[in-house]
Amino acid sequence: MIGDFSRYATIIPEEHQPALQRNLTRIPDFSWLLSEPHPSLERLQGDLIKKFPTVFLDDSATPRSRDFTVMLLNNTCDLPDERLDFVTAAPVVDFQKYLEFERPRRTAESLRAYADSIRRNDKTELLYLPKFDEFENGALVLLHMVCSVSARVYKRALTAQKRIASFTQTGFYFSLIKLTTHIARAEATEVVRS
Amino acid sequence: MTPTIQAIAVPVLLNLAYVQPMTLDSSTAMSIVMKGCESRPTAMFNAQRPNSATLALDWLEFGTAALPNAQPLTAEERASINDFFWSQFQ
Repeated sequence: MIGDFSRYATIIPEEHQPALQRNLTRIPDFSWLLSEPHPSLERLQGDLIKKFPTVFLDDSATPRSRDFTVMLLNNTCDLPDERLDFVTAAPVVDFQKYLEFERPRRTAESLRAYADSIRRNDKTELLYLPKFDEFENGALVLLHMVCSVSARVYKRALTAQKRIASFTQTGFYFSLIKLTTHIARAEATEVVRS
Repeated sequence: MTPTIQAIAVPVLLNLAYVQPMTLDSSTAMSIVMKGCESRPTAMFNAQRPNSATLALDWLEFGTAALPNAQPLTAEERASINDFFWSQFQ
């Protein structure tokens, strides 16, 4: 766990450090990650939007489209109209349904250990979210399955009030940790670039 | 451009290029969109950094400290979550 938090004063404002430090010690309790949609700021990085159209290419490069709850990955500063043509969305799936899907493939003990590691957010591709909206037992953001969608679709979703949750202040910092760990962790030392 | 003018103008131009005041565009009292944020990664935290590379490294170090046991999915786990994902389309 993090010892001297002051080392990170340049990336975490001092006034937010006590709450973040306290919340990080609560892991695997992630009840502090999400809140109701922000009451006044309409467009925030990480916002969760339900019934959002997505598309993915399968093994034969065939586009497969379906509505998912999604997490918006764009930086808040890139979400105003004049900065926005496409949004980047990561699909969200039901954690309990995934465990049920996985159950026949594992022993009870193996499944419990796997579920615990996901709940601790130890899997870099998966962002575990606590209970919200229809996800009574939590949800998983699939950070390895992102897609681009027209900003017009996003704006229509906002108009239709499909925004269902926002990250809290400390939850937002944690979401950045997950994105960093997934996308920007150090390369293996064997990788030598010219 | 003389060296003196250059010494003054270049920082000013860079400042104009990268630092925009953060403003709010409010169409209604309950609907605010952030406008004109700074484009530098340091802007979010209002931290003055010598370069953004060290900021990114700080995030990496912080992430490692916060989640010391973070690991990518194994091949079996990847197959499992992907199978589950595609099953949503059936």
